[in-house]
Amino acid sequence: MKADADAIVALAATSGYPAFFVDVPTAPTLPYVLVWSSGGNLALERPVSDSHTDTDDLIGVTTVAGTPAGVLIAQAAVRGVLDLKSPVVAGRTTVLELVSSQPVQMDRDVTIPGTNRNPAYAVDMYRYRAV
Amino acid sequence: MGVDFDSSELRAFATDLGNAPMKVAVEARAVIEKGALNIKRQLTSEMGASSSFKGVASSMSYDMVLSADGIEAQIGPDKDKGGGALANIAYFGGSRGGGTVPDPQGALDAEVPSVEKFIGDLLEKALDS
Repeated sequence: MKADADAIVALAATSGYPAFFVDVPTAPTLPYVLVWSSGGNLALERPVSDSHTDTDDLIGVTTVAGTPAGVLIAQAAVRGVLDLKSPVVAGRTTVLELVSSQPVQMDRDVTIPGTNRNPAYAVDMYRYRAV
Repeated sequence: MGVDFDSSELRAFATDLGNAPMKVAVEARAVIEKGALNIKRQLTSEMGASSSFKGVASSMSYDMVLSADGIEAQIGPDKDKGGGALANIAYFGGSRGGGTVPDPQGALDAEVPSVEKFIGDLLEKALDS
C-alpha cells in the first residue's frame, strides 16, 4: 500500500499544490492537499486462489486553504488530477473515483501561523481500486 | 440518440409485486430494520475502538422512515447526543490530519449482501404464493 499511497500523493501534487500523506509540516504553505487512507482494504470480491494484493479502499483527500473560496478553487484543481485517473504503481492497474464530498468548513482548532485566522478545509472521498 | 429496451417483463414483475400481500411489506421492514441494527452495532464498535473518539460511540442510532416510495433506514451518529457532534472529525479529520475511524461505508457494504438476500427470498416467496 505504500507504493499506492506514494503514487496518489504524487498525482495530487500535479495539481500544483503541495501534497502530504496523513500528516503535514508544522507550518505548511497554503493551500495544500492531505491524502489519508487505511493500510489498504483488500478487494472483497475475488477468487480464493487470488493473491491478496487486489485493493478496493476509500482514500480521503483533504484540501486546505486560507479561505473557503480558496478551498473550492484548490479542490477543483485536485479533482481534475485525481478523479477517474490512474496513479502510477509498478505492476498494477489502478483507478481513483470521487464518490462523496463533505461540506467546506473552518478548522477552529488551528490558527494559520502569523495570523489570527483559521484555515478552511473540505474532504473528498475517493474509491481506489488496484489489481 | 435514444435507447430502446423491452420493458414488458419489468411491467409484469411490477404487477406481480403489486399483488403481493401486505405481509411482505411488513416482513421487508423487519429485514431493513435488522440490517440497520447490525450496521449501527458495527459503527458503535468501530467508534468505541478509537481511543480518541470512544465517547462518540453511544451517539449511534437509526431511524426507520416509511413512505410511499419504500422503506428507508437512516443510520449514524446523532449530533444531539453523546458527543455525536465530534463524529465528523472522527470520520473525516481536520485540516491537519485525516479521519481515524473507518468510514461508515464499510459497515454498509458489509451488510448489503445479507439484506439483499433476505429481500430476494421474501420476493421469491411472495411471487410463488
